[in-house]
Amino acid sequence: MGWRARVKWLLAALSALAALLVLLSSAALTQPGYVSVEEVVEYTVVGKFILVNRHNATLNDFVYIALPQNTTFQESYIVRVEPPLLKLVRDEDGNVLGVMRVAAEPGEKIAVNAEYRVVVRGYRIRAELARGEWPPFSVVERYTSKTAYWNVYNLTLVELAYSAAYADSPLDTAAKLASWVLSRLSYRVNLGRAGSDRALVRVFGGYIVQGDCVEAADVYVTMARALGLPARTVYGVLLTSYSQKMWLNMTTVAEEGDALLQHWGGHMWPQVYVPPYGWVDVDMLDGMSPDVGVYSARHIVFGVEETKYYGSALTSSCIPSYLDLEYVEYEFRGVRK
Amino acid sequence: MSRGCLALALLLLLPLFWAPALAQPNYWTALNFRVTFFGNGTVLVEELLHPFTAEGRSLLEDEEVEEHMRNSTREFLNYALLMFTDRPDRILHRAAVRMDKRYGESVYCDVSGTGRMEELRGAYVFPVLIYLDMSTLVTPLGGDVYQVKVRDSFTSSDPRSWIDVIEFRFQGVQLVNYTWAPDYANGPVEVREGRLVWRNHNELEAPDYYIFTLRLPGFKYEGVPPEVFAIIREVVFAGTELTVVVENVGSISGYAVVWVKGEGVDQARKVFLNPRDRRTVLFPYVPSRNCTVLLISGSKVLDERSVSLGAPAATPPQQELRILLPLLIVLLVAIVLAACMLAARAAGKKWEKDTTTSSGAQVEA
Repeated sequence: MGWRARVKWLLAALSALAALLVLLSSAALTQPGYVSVEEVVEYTVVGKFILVNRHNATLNDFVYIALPQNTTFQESYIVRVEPPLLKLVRDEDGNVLGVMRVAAEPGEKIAVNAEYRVVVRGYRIRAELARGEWPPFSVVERYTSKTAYWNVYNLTLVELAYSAAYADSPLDTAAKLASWVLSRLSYRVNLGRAGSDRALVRVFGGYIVQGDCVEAADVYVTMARALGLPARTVYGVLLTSYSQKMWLNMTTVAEEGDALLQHWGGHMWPQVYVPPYGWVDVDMLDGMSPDVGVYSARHIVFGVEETKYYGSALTSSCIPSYLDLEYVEYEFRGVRK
Repeated sequence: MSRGCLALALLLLLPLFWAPALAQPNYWTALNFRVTFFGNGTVLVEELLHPFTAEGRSLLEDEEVEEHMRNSTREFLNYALLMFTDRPDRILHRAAVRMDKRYGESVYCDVSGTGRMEELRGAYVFPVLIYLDMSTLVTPLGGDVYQVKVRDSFTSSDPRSWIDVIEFRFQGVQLVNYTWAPDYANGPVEVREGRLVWRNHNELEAPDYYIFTLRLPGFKYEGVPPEVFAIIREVVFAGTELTVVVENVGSISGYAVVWVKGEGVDQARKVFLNPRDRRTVLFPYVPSRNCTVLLISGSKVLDERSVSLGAPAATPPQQELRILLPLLIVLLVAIVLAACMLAARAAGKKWEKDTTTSSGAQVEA
């Protein structure tokens, strides 16, 4: 090879290197370095619901089915739903629901089968790189107001929030609050939703948060909102392993109490809005740790509760109108990528 | 239509709503609403309710259901308020003390989804008068023209519920325009002077919002009233940190928002202030040199300060790196390229010199 050819080759190699470096630098711009993806799991989710007509009339019913949502850290695809979906609708909080129509004779049972593919990315925020800023005004206005379950005018909750977690930065506020709620949680499965007012119980020596994940999330969101930190709840499931089967028999569920936890993983947890991260998960019950922005890929999000005054009627399953839901089953088969 | 025993949330999380649901009578409620707008900006909402079974049997005379309906007055009041605001606790209204059972009324509903509206005779009637001046769903459009959004608060709470029949009347009000959302929902079945009627057979056909452009001659929109009377005591800009001290100088406790606005800056924090409370609010990173600090409560600006810092604010490390990284890389590549070209040129000259001295003639590469 002559000298000129060598120089041309060198220049071409350098140009390629330059292009590669530019590409890498633009990738560095689009992928925020202050969030690190720790694990990626692809799930096949198979859902089965049994509906029954307990009335003495043939019923034409609309059935609303919760779907895994698309978020920054979750990609969801519908593989099949039987009977087929009539429509996909979006509620006020932006959650996409499926609607189907079924007809049932008196005493008839209807099976609804669904299959989804869901890719979940577990992440961890790198708080050492970005301290976090207080959010824009419009976000604060929208996500700090009162709802039926988040009474930000409960003076006891407000005073506890300010004494336990008032801090200069939003991430510090979120972390202090998580520590406070977790340290006072008296966990027990709660049939119903107490809301933050009733979840906070005065005992000898102070206050406790009584209930399960829903009460912990409701108290956290109420106190965060009182502190001026935009907050909402997320509902879905929390798996104990990547592959798991869970079920609910609605006819016996009221008698089960804590035994329910052995075969059902429905879950709710809070999120807070902190720029530049966006919505940051605060799942205190995953590992019973007050971590902010540490999110495992064992969560599947079915929706969020933001502004609806009475929260969400439809969470991680399906709801008919006239018919009764008798049985719910989910099978999750996850593969780490 | 609303399912009576499950008026509150049915949660399939760890907790379940089954126990209270089993303890309550299982029935459905036909929902017919008459909504009358008046020129002074008030709205009369008359809720006409009729309980029935899935088989279509009326439960108007069922004592247990009647007791449950009457105990649900608070919820039905909230549903009426939520039609016009996101903040039912912050809107003026007057409501009846109890539901009235009237036999002269009729309520219509598509019982068991047959596609046919059936008449159910008699109704529980619950009237609520709402003042729109504090509504969060009113938008002034200029002059005495306003956009008023009316939410179906039932479908908003539960996808299975909806208002079966809703009639809008306009007294002393000019209806300029109307529409509804989502667009796949059905439009009104009756359109007359001063009257619009929607008949909704199911939730999918029922609009989530009924949207009106109205000329309200005797109305002035106030917005959400302030919760507290507070002032900005102090604003200190040090480096990139902005510290704001606010004080509640009124006699009522409540929330106010400290909002920092400037070029590329929009940061806010809501704080709760008891009477005479002073609260220090820190904004750790404010990149703009000039900004305005606003103190807002409800829809009102309580106080305002302009602040400026002499020197440009420093960029925080991670942002600095993110902005400078591509520039540094391009610069590095340019330097390397230039160095290579210089080296190549020098090598070429040397080679030329070598070949000229050795053979006395240039060699074509």
